[in-house]
Amino acid sequence: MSATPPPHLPRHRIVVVGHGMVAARFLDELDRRVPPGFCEVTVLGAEPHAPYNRLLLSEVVAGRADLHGLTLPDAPRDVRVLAGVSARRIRRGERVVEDDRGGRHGYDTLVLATGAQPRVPSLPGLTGPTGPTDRADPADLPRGVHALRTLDDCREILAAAGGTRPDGSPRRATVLGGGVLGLEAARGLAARGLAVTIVHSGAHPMDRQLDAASGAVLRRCLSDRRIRIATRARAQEVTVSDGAVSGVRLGGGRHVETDLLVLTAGVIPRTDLAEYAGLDVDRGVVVGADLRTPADPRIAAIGDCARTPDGWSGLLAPGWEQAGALARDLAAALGGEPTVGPGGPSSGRRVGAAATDVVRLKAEGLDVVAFGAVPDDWGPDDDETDAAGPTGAGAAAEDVGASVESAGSGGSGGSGASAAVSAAPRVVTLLDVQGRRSLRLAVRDGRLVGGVLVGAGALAADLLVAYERGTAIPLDPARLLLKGGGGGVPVATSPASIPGSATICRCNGVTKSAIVTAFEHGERTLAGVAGRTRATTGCGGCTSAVEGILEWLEAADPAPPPGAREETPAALTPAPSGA
Amino acid sequence: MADTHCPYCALQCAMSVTPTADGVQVAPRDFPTNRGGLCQKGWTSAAVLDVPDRLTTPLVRGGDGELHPVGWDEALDVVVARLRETWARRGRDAVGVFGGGGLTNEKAYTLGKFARVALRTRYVDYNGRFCMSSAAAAGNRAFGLDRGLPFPLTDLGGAQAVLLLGSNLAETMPPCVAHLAGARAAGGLVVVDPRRTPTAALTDDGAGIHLQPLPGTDLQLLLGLTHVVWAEGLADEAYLAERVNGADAVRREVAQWWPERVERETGVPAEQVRAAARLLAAAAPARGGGGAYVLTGRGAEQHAHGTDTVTAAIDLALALGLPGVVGSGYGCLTGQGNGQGGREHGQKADQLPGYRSIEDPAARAHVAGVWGVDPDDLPGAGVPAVAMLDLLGRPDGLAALFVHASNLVVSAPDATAVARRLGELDLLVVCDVVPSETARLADVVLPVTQWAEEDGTMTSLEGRVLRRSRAVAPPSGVRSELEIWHDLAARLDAPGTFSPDPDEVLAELAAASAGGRADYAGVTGERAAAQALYWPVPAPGHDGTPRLFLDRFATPDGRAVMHPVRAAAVADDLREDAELYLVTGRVLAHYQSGAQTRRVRELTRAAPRGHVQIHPLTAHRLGIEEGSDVRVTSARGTSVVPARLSDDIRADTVFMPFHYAGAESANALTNPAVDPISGMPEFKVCAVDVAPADAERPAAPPPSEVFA
Repeated sequence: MSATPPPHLPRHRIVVVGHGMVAARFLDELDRRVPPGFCEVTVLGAEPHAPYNRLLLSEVVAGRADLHGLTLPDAPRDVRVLAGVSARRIRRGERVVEDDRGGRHGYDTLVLATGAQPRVPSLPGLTGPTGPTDRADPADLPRGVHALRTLDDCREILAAAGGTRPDGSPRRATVLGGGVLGLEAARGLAARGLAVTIVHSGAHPMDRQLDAASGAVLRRCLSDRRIRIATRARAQEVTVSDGAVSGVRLGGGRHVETDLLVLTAGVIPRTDLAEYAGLDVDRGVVVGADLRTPADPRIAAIGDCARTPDGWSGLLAPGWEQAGALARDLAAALGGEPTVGPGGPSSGRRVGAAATDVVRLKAEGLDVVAFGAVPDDWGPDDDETDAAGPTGAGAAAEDVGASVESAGSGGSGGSGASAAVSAAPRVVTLLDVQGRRSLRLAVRDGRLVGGVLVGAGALAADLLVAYERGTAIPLDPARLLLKGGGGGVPVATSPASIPGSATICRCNGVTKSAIVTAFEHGERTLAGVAGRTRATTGCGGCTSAVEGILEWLEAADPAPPPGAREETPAALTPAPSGA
Repeated sequence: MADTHCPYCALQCAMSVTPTADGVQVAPRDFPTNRGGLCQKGWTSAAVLDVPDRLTTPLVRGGDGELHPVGWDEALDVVVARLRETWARRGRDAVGVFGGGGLTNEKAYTLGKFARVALRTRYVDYNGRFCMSSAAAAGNRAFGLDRGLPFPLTDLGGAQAVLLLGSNLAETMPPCVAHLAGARAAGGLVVVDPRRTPTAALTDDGAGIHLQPLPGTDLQLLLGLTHVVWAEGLADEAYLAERVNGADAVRREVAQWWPERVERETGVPAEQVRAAARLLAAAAPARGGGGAYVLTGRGAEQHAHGTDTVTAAIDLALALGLPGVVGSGYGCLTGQGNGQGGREHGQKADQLPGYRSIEDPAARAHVAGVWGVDPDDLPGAGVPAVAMLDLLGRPDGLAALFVHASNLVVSAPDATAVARRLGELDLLVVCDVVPSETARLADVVLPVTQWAEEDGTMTSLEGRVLRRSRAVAPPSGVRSELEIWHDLAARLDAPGTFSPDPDEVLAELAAASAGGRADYAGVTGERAAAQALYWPVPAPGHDGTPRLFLDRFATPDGRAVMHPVRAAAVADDLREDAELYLVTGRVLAHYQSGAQTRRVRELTRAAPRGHVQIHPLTAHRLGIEEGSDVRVTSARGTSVVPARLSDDIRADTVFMPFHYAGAESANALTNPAVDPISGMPEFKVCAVDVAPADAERPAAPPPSEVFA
């Protein structure tokens, strides 16, 4: 960047509260775009650690990642990071943030990236000094009860997961909440040999993302891995013995005994600072499309603490997008240039596409991906058909016609007026319970708009790319349900069934029929065929194929060559013998 | 008869060339790299010697706009007169020289010297900028030295695992496949390519893994592989502590690239990322494996972030403890015949012989001493190829250009624009063996000798200095570039000497390179004929250096350097009116711009036309049938080629070979965006629209509608 800071102007002061993954991304994006000297950045991070990859904590629990490998890059050189320092108060009038050490940090722009904290259910047994509220401080929990949100949580869970019970049986773990994090934690603890039970209030695991059929398949996958799950289960009480957790009592009286309880019942945005500062809070600090609070445009919020016009997701990707957007916006305001082009590594995504709503379970053997929206029913019903419901054949047939037509006319500018009649998405499914597969895809206008995938395997990567980049899909969306589009033709490999035109020696462009011709001219050895056709004289990889063809020809025509004819096969130039 | 090496790629297969009554015959010779093998190009190479349109007389464009045969004296006089006019009007820096990676070491060296001493221009660069520059930049910053393979190629044979990134060697250098047999037998071949190429197919049947990423995402994939290495505790910490700087910063950078994120960015399933990383780690010596190699090719390198991609590959190799260890390592597979030697001896804009920097006063003094000129008379650094081509015909740019061993009109990115720029020059001089597409645009064409007609040395992909030997007499009327520079230098009253004798030039090159990074001090024509030596050969009695870095890397403190790199987006990414990625590459039957191979009947029969490879489902959606003509359009141009349907390619990507000219030109479409460090253009990915050729042409979108 060629710009130099205007020496006569004071530097723009940016204070960032929070130093998690979204804050780290914001600092990185800002560093890419704003020349040194244009702004002065201070970061207050409550945790004493360098920023780390929180998403991988469940991988550490599973033994698939090393705790020390989570540390993210240092903040850019000229950023002042105060680790282990919490913000206490925002004084908007003075444009100052006060920290818990008595420090005061003046700002021109304040970025709230305080994230979220685990929700602690208001259950008897979990209530510490702060009383029965779901905003209890996770630090006040009984022994053996842990959230999974911080490095310290993770260390404590690992410490608690070791060893066996006094009688030699595996230690028992209960996971409260069968969402994404709950399943990852459960899988990780099971991998460590614990006997794991998930207590989940929904009808099936991951019910926020999965339909009933997918949930049923996932349930079987859990069972395959000896992970028990109690669904539609309401925890009534956490039982505690000698200050340590001993079990969870469910509605109906069932008591699940446990040595370790992991709370994965969702998170709550950390909004205290904003609330005390008189900013609007509604499950997140309310911000506009510009990520600024409406009441005070000098204050922005990004990540899990923010509620944007798109809502609140609790996912990392939207937080990273917000970090990039805010950094770009600030850079533009500060006179920086977009030095790295219009986007970071993810700019291949379609502009305006809601491609940040991908949920992907990271748990060995639990292959679950959900993205976009898939209607629960089977597409638009047709008033004219019988009352049998959305499964009516008439509705489905009409749906096919509409979808093919829109795909065929798609391409450039397909989002025009014709989209006005665009109906509900077309849904295609594959259900294979024994094979532990349930795939549900929603397509509209020749694009993938949603998917719920259990057991998709390598196919998931293709579908995610198609969804996130908005690439066009095959005319028949059912092709999406199998890897490679399901159009593959088995390749003939036996000497007899290979077509004559097939190239055997790629290096020298020698076809099967050329080898047959050489044979017919009396070349019965590999060296002879090589001399006449050059087959096998490149990389040598076709040697066994040529031998196979010779054996096949020999078996069909074992007679000695009747005085091999002298002329050269028409299409070939004789290779000179090695001089 | 003479023992020599193939005229084409950097594998430099050994062959004998024998003139007979029926024409010149070629036969393979046993040599470690090709083991007695030749591909179809090598077998048929003699056909190029006497193609019907072989240039045998100088040509000068007349007042009628046509090229006319003239004598050598007249042609050289024209060149000199017009050069002097240009100098008088515009100064020395209005003249440029564009070289090639097919030139012998002696020619590459003399080309740089001619530019700096006789023309006294800083504007010299070469087509190796299009091939090797990113790998070279990354190798230099990691190891302090760039030799494509810092180990003998045959070492690959003993490895348990080989990671090949963006190399289709089964088509580009087929005899090389034999060296992968060991890794395949161990199930350890990992090929990264958006296409299931013949090389990727070598992983079939348990021989390894094919990772098929979105074009332009090799970098993210590599970050993911390195992530897994560290996340799963597979890094060689003892090696890192002892031999490497900068590991911690890289470890923290890759902490952000867990496999599921990599899957979303690259389209490679997370489990495949893990499996590939584990496979490589299991083969690493620190884990008791049988050795592992990480190798890059143009597919990974020809990007606007190619240097960073290669750096990420090197970082992976270093994390696993591979470089500088016998039986393991990192290497880049050089493409052109003398792509290695061609980048060492002064064709690059910023370099002097021996891989010396032209900005280094000591290097200037040394080389100026060998050349017998004042160091202050040497020009400074020029600009890389793409920037230099952009200067052609501009008022403050270049008014005259010499082109050697390069067919820019076919091989440069955004080739149509390059052709237009060449047309704006006052003087274009092209040395070639045939009337290539570029030669046909020239004001003066000088016919030159080729491979079997000349002596010299070539440095192969493993850094070995090979003897090229004259087997047949050149056609009368044809001269070597060494003779041409000799004659031009004399006419221009240039200081120093310009020997037409290759062995004399080699002796001078050896002296000029002595003490440099690519040190040929102990190489002579005689020694090269007797034994191919691996450089550096720092003294007359020195036996060469087959394996580099065993004790120390070529950095000041002897330690390799890891650099954290950040992922970057494709420069010309998908948008509403260009929904498919185009990747480009080669087919087996052709070499580079095809100027040679498209003149060989057997090869044109095998691959007569360009084509676009397209997935059947994509073709079906677009109404394209096998063999039908397809219009491929990028932001820069349009090509029309027949469709070849294959499920070997991703459904969101199409492929075109770049050997063809005119309407079938792939480089009419490619993006000249360059790597900020190496100047390498982004040949390997851009966004295109694909439609049946007979379909109505879509209206070009107004610029404001171009999506970012």
